[in-house]
Amino acid sequence: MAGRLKGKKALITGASSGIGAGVAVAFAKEGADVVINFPNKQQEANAKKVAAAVRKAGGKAYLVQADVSKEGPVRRLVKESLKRLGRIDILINNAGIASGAPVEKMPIAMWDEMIGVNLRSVFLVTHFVLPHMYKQGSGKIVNNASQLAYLGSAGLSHYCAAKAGIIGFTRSLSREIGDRNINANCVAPGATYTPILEAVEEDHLKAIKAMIPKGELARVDQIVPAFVYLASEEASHMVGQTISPNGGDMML
Amino acid sequence: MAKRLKGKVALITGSSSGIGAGVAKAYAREGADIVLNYPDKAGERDIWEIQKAIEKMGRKALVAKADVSDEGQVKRMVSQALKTFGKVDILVNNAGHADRGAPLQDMSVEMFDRMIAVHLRGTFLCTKYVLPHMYKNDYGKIINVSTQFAFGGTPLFTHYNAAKAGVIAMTHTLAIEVGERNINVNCVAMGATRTPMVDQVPPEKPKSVLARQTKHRFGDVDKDIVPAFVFLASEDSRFFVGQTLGPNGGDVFS
Repeated sequence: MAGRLKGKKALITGASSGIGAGVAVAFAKEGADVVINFPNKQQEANAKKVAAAVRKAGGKAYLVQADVSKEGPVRRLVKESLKRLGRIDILINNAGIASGAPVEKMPIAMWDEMIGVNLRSVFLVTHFVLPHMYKQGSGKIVNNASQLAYLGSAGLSHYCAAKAGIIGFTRSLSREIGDRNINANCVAPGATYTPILEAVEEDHLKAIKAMIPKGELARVDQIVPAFVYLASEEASHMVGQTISPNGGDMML
Repeated sequence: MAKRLKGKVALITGSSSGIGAGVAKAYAREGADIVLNYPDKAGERDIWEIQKAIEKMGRKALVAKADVSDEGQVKRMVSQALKTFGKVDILVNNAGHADRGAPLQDMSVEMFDRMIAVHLRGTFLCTKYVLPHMYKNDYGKIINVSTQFAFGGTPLFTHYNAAKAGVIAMTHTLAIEVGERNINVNCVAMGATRTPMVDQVPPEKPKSVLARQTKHRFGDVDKDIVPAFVFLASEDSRFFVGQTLGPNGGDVFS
């Protein structure tokens, strides 16, 4: 099934692990070159592994460290990506973090950090990439939301607000883009085996599985094809949509 | 490019024109053998053209005439398909029926009944007779066809929109009944698409729809709509369960 993204250049935020890493390798298999963004020194070794996997899959891989919640680093990330790739055809806003606390106990800093990394980043990266897509007259933006945007989750008010915010952002952005040849859409995965899930206790995982018609959590490789689809020409009429690989947990 | 539906058998109802015809050809291109279905004499010439096109791709195509709202005819179609191919891996409940619509108080009861019969009862009947075989094989992809108007409504089409909203609810419920089996049930709810069905409705209708849509254009069957059906029939969508995809050019955001 090679070649659905042949010759495309993609910037993927938070691509050193989990879904972002899976997307990077899948894009390379489909013929794209990628910038692998990672947040800090601790993630550098992981990012290098992803780059090796991308190259093995036949793509070019460039590593760019940047905290996507901050304007200056995002400016540099986009500038560096354009320098390496020459253009950005596909932007995957995937970077995310996890933490949790009930609203009354949630430290303000925890709230701010979550909104910064999971929502503000989507605005910032899109803000700096979009003018280039407008200029080249084409582009695919795929934002990583979550089914928790709809379901809510106790202790994750900040995360759910950020993810619901991403969906609202994507819909408004789609109206601004209008009839230009640029598509902005979301993937809202259900619970997926990624490093973010490692913090969740076994009992809680069991309770999550019991709610899912398929009776299992997603593996990264079951989520990634949704990103390939939305990044490809096959999804040319998908505009402002949110598609949900979630095993039937939430049907939309 | 490796074929995404290699070795599969797909039954596509209402495949003599429009989206059904596009899906049939795309699935054949991806390696599937096809059961083509059409309801009456009117579709006969078209369906043979499509059969020829599929055979030219090196795939098999069985033509099964059946009104999907009629139990006996559906039974016959499904047993014909099984006799020829031994299995049905993919079922696309696409058969539709269009009229010019009417305000509810002026809508004849026959008009309402016919619409519900083809879209909703037809989806039930075809699924009812195919599902046991999918259970036996522990494999299947069921793709139902709805419309974005199931969410937003549009005047003159209470019957059509009710049928299509029913299709979505049926998709949700069946997805839960199917449960952990290796069978996926999903739905496509497209926006206004350039098909023979659109020619049936009053011309001012589509215009008002396109005005509020961001891309301001009809969906093109092959380029814009059919790929969603390929995605849902392929292993790429394994974790999509009871979902509704909306290729609609930015009209209803779902």
